[in-house]
Amino acid sequence: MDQVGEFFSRLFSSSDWPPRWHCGEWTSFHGWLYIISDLLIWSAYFTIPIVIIRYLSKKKDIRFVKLYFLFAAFILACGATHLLDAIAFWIPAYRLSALFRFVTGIISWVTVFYLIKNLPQIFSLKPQKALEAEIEQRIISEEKFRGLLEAAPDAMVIANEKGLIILVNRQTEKLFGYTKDELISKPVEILIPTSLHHKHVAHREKYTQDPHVRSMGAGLELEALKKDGSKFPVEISLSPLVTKDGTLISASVRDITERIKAEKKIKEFQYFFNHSNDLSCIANNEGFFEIVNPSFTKILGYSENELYNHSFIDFVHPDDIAASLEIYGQLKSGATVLHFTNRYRKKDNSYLWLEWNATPNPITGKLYCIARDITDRKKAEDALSKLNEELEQRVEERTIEIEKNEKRFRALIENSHDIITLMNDQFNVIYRSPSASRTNGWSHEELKDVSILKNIHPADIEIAKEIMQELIKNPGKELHVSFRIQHKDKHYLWVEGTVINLLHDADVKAIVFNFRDITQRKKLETLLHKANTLARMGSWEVDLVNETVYWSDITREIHETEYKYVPDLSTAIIFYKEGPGRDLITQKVKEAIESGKPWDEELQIITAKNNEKWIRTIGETEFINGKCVRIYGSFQDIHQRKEAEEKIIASEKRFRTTLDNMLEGAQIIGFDWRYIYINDSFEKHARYRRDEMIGYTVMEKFPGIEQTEVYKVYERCFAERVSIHLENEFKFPDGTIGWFELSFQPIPEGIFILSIDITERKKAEANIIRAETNYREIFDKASDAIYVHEIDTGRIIEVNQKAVAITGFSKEEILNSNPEIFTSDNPEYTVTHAVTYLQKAAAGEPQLFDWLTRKKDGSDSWMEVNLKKATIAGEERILAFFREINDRKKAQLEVQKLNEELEQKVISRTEQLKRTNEELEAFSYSVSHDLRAPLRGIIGFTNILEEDYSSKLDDEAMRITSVIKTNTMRMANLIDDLLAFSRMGRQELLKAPVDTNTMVREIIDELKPTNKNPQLQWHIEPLPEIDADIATMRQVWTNLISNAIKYSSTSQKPQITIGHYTEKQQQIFFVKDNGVGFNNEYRNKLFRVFQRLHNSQDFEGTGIGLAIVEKVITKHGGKVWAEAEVNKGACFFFSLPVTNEKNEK
Amino acid sequence: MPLNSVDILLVEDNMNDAELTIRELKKHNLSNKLFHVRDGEEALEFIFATGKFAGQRQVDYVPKVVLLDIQMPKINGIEVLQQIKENERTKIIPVVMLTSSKEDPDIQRCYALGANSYIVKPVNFEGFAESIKNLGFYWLLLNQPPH
Repeated sequence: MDQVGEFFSRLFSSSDWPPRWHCGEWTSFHGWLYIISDLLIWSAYFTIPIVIIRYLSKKKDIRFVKLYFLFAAFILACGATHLLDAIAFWIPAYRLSALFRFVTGIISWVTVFYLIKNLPQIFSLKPQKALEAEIEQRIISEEKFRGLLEAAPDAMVIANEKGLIILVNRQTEKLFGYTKDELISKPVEILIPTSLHHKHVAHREKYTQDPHVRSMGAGLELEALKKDGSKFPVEISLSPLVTKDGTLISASVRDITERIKAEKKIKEFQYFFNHSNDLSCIANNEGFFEIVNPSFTKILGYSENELYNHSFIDFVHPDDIAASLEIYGQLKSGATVLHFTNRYRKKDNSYLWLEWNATPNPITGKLYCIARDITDRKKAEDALSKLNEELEQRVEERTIEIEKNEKRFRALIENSHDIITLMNDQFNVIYRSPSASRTNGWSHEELKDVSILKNIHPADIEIAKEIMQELIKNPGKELHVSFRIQHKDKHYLWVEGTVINLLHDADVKAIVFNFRDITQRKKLETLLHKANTLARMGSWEVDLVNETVYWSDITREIHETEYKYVPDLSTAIIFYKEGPGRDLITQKVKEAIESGKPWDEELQIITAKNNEKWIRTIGETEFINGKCVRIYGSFQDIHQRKEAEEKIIASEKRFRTTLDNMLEGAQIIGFDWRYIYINDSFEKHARYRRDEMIGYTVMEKFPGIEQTEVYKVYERCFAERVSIHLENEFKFPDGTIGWFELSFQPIPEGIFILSIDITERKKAEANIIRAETNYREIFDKASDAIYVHEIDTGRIIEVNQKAVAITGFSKEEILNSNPEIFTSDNPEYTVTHAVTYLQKAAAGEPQLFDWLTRKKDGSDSWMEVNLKKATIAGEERILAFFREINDRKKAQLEVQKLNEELEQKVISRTEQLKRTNEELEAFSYSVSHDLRAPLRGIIGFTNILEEDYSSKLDDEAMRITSVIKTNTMRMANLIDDLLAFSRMGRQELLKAPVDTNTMVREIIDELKPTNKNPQLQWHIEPLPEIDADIATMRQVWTNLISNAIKYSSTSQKPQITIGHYTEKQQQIFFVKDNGVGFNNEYRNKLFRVFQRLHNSQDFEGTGIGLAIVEKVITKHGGKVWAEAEVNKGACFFFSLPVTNEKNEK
Repeated sequence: MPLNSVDILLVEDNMNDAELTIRELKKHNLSNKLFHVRDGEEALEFIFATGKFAGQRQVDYVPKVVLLDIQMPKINGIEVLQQIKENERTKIIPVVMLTSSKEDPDIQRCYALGANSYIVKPVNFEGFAESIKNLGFYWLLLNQPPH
C-alpha cells in the first residue's frame, strides 16, 4: 500500500522541477498567450466528445460507433495534455503530464489503426439524397412485393429466423381461416398439426442454417392445420429472403387435397389397369399401341416394345383384317363404344379369339380398348355349331330319306289308276292324285280348297252328307261308298271306293278318299252284252253225212278269206298253225268224232292273208245212232287278248326272275300271314328252302315271333298299309342271331318285305366296340399312369384309371388341364421344366426322366416319366407314362447319401494319412539330423584324440579309438538306410520308361570303387526297357549289385551275371554271383529288416538293403525271391508285371 | 580382432561342430579372421550391425563367406539367408548352407533364396575335414569377390 501511495505521491509531486514560469525567460505576454491557447484548445477538445456522445445517444442506427468513441477519447486525451501544459506554468507535475501524453499517444494510434481499417467503408457511405431515393425505391418495391404476395395463387407465409410469422397474404387467411392479425408474430407452427410441431421446429432450424430455394414438389408433402382444427395435405415451397433484419423465410403453401384425390384415383386406375385380366390398351389415332397393360403382354406373349412398334392391325388374323379395319374406320369417324371380336396372333403364332370393347376419345382421337380372351368360349361355340351342323346334317339325311319314302309313296299313288283325294276336316280338297284330273277333267288348282260336295250329283248329296257325319264320328273306320260326280264337261261319272278319316294320324292329317271311276265298267257291261250278241264270234258247222263245211261270215272274216270262200274239212284244219296247235286240233276233232268229246282250245291260225292269229275254238258233236253226224262250234278272234296276256306273262316272268335273282331277300306274305313268294336270297336269310316256306305262316316257321318287336311291324304294315324301314336283330329257332335291314311295303297281296343281311356288318361293328372296350380296359388297367397330351398345347385329353388312382384327382379334374396341376413346389421340377420335356418329346425325341409330382392331397411323389410322340387316329399326340418310383428314389437317395458319406470318409482318411505322412516326414528329418550330429562329434573328437595325443596313447588305446569310429560309422549308415527304407514306404511311384541297360551300366561304374577284387568278371545280358519309378528302381539295382560284389569278393574268380527272362506275363530279372551264398532254408528271412545271414565282421551291412528291394518291387506289383547254396553263390530274382500299355497305344 | 575385417562368419549352434570346423580351418591357416556366432539372431545382429554389434562394425565391411547352419534355435538358417539376400547391401555375401542331413527338404528352397552352396556335413571325420578344408580354400582364396 505504501508503495502505491508513494507511486501516486511521486506522480503528482512537482517538487523536482520549477514551475514553467521559472524556466527560461517567459514574458507575461508569451506565457499567458501560451496558457490561454492551451485552455482554448482544451475546452474545444472537451466539447467535441460531449457533442458526439450526445448525438450518439440520440441516434441509434448509426454505424462505426466504435470510431466515434475512439475519436472522442482521442480528442479528450489531446485536450487533457493541453490542460496539463497550461497548469504546468504553476504546478510542474511533469510526470503526470508525461503519463497523459503517453496515454494520448496510444489512443491516437488505436484511432489511426481503426481509421485505416474502416476508411474505405466510411467513404462509401451514401449521401442523403441517394439514401432517400433508395428508400423511395424500397417503398415501391415493397408495395410491389406486397402486391405480388397478394396476387400469388398460393398462401404465402413469411417468417423470420425465429419462426415467427411476420407477413401473410389473403390466400393464407382464406386457406387457414385465420385473420392476418391472428397470425402475425405467432410461430409458424400454429399452421401445422400439433403432432408435427416437434419435427417441424427441427426441420425449420436446420433450414435456417442453410437456407436455399426449395421449389414446389421438391419437398415432402405435409399436413397443415386450419383454424377450425381440420387438417389437409399441402405442398410447400420455401425461399429465403435476405434482408437487413436477417434472413426471412418465405413459404408458399398449396392445398393439394384435390390433387391427392386425383392421384389416388389415377393410382387406383393404374392398379386396375395393371392387374386386370383383360387386355387393356390405348392406341393412338394411327392405330399404334401407346400403352398396354401387363395382361396384354402376358396373354399375347409379346414384349411391350414389340407391341409399341406395331399397329394393332399387324396382329389381326388375315381373315379378320377387313372386318377389323371397317370397325376401326367407324371408330375413327366417331362411333362410340363398339363391341367386336377378332383373332389375334400370339407371339408363338397361335391365334386367340378376343372380344373387344373400343371407345375413341373424341378429343385426342385415341382409342381405349379392352379385350377379353374368349378363345375357349369360341372353341365351345365352334364345337356347338359343329354339333348343330351334324344334327342338321342328320336331319337333312332323315328328311331326304323321308322324302324318298314320300316320293315312293307318291309315285305309287300318282301312278295308280285309283284316284286318291285328301280332304281336310271341312271336306275341302287338299290333295288329289293326278289320276283324279285325268278322270274328271278338273285340274288340281281348280279344285284345291273346294268342297267335295260341289261336284257330287245332286241326287247323291244327301247320302254324301250322311257319310261325312259318320266319318267324323268314326275316325279310322273305312267306309265303302259309290256315287256320281260331275266331270268338267258337265257329264257325270260313277265312282266307287273307300273313304277313311285319318285326321288323327300325324303322318296323314286328312280324310282319305280312295275311289275308282266305274263309269267305264258300267258301260262295258252293256257293251259286252252287245258283243256277246253281235260277237266277234263266228260259227261253223261240219256235216259229216254230207261232208260239207259251213263258216259264218265272221268266221270267214277271222280267217281273212274271200267272202265266198267255202272250206272243206281238211282245208279248215290247214289254217291252224303247223305244229303242236294243228296236231292238237286234229286230235281233238278225231276224239270228238269218235267219242263225242267236246273241246275248247285257244290256238293259233295262219289267216288267208298269212297273219298269225290267236283264236278260241269250241267244238261240240251231234250223234245219231251212235254215229257222229255233225260237229259244230264257235270260232272267236282272241288275238288281242291273247297278245296282251302273253305280254303280261312275259313281264311277270321277267319280274319274277329279277326278284329271284336279287341279292336282297324278297318275300311276299299274304294277309293270312302265309308266305306267297320268297326269292333265293331270302331262302338263305330264312334258312329254309322255298318249298319249306311257301304256304306256311310266318308264325309256323318262326315260332315265338309274336313276342318280338318285328312282329308289330308286320302287323302295322298289314293294318296301316304303310312302308316301314328298320334294322332288326333276329333270333333264329336254333338260337343264333342274325341282323337284317328290313323294308316293309304294303302290296295288294299283303306285304312285300325286302331284307338285307347285315349280320357281318353288325358283327364288325360289335368287334370294333368290343376292341374299343378292350383297349379302354387295357388302358385303364395299365400299371403306369398314362396321359395323352395334345401336342401343341400340352393339354391332357385322355387319362387312364391308374392316373386317377395315383394322383387322387378325378378324371374330370385332369382332363383338359395342363401338367401344372401336378406341379410341386420344388424349384427343380417346375412347369417350365415340364414344358421343356414336352416340347422335346413333341420334337420327336423320347424323354425319360424322374419327376416329383404333386398329388391332390398335397403330398409329393416320385415318378419315372416316359414321354413319347405317337400318332393316334391320325392325330399327333404325346403319350406320358408315369410310374411311381418312391421306393427306388428313396433307395437311390440313400445310396447317394451313403456315397457322399463314404467320399467324405475317404477324404478325411486321406487327410489323416497325409497328416501322418507329414508327421513321419518331419520325424525322419529330425531323426536324421539330430542323430547324426552327435555321431559326427564322437568321430571328430576321437580323431582329435588320435591326431593330437598319439604320443600319449599306446597301441591298445589306438585300437579302441578305431573301434569307436567304426561303430559310430555303422550307426550312421544304419540311420541312413533306415530312413531310406521308411521313405520308400511313403513315397509315391512316378512310373516312366526306364532304360535298364544304361541304368545297370551306370551303377556298376559307380560301384567300382567298392570292388576290391580285380578278378571280378561281369556277364550282362541285354535287358528290356521297363516301366517303373526310376529313383527307387535304381536303388533296387544298386542294392542287388552291391550285394553281389560284396558277397563274391572272397571268391577266387568272382563272377556276376545279370540277366532277364519272361514268364507268365512277368518280366523277371536276376543278379547272380558265385560268392559265399547262404543256406536256402533262410531265404525267407532275407528280405526282412535287420535280418542278416552273415556277420558284419565278415561282410559289412545294415540288413536293410534287401528289405528296401522287397518293398520297391512289391510296390511295383512284382515279387522278389532268392536261391542260393552255401559257398556256391546266390541268385536274386525280381519280377515286374509286363505292361501292355505300349502295345495298346 | 577388429570386427570389420572378419572373413568367415560361422553360424553354428552345435558347439562340437563349431569346434571341429574351426579346428579344421585352423589346420590350414584359414581361421585367422573367423567369427563364430551361435544362432540366427546373433548372426543377423552381426551382419546388420545391430543389437550388441551396433557401433561395433559397419555393415559395408562384409565377410568373404558366411557358413550358415540351417537347424538353429530362435531364427533358423533359412530366415537368416532370406534376410541377407533381401538386403541390397548384404546380398552379395556368399552364403554356404550347412546341414546334417541329406533328407533336408529345404535344399531347393535354399538355392531359390540365393544360397551359393549347400553342404551336408558328413559323419565321418575325414569327409568332414575334407569338406571344411575345401570350403575355406575355395571361398577365401580362390573365389574372386565382386568388389
